[in-house]
Amino acid sequence: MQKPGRFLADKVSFVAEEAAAYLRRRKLSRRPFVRIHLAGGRILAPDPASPQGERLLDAAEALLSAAAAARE
Amino acid sequence: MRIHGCSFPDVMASRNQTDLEPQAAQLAVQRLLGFIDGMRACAVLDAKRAILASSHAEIDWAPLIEPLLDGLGDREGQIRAVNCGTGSGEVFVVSGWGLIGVAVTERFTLSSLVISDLRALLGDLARHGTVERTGARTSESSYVAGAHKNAGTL
Repeated sequence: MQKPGRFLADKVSFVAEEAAAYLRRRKLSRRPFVRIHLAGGRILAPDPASPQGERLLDAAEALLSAAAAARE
Repeated sequence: MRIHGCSFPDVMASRNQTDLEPQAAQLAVQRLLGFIDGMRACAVLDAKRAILASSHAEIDWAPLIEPLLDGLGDREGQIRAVNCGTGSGEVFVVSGWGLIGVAVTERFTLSSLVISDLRALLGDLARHGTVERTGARTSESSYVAGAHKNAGTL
């Protein structure tokens, strides 16, 4: 026989796990990245924290800000 | 970089980009806005980074994309596309056929599809001077099929 309150504890833990997984997925999907597609199909993925990655991400952020300002 | 004995500029020099009608470039921008969900802004520039058409005239595209295409050392001439994602969205800069396509979008899972769409559009613009033959996804698949058949153009 199931202990009293076990059903509720299971439900709460299920919801908490789902929420944690959602946050993990959201964090991953928002992580900055840089991909450079070269001739021949090769793709480079510089580290976003490297000087090159930072320079490219700064440029991308500037373009995103300009687009956001233009749409307002 | 040379593939199958054929370099990218050799193939792409078939059409003079100054021949492009402004309406054709504007139609390309309209197509991009229409068939890529989450598109925020886009533009088509020529090889000298002069704007041929853009969705938002108030954006000064050339200096903004310059750091994305330049400053990559000795790989500069080989770059076909740069795709950067931040917390607020994604930026695509695709070069080819003497043209540059720029797209500012939401974050995508399948960003390579956006690159394919941009390349299909630039290819049609350069080869035919129009994008009337370009349709969403169908042109992408024909582009990919064509690319595999004739790897020398890639």
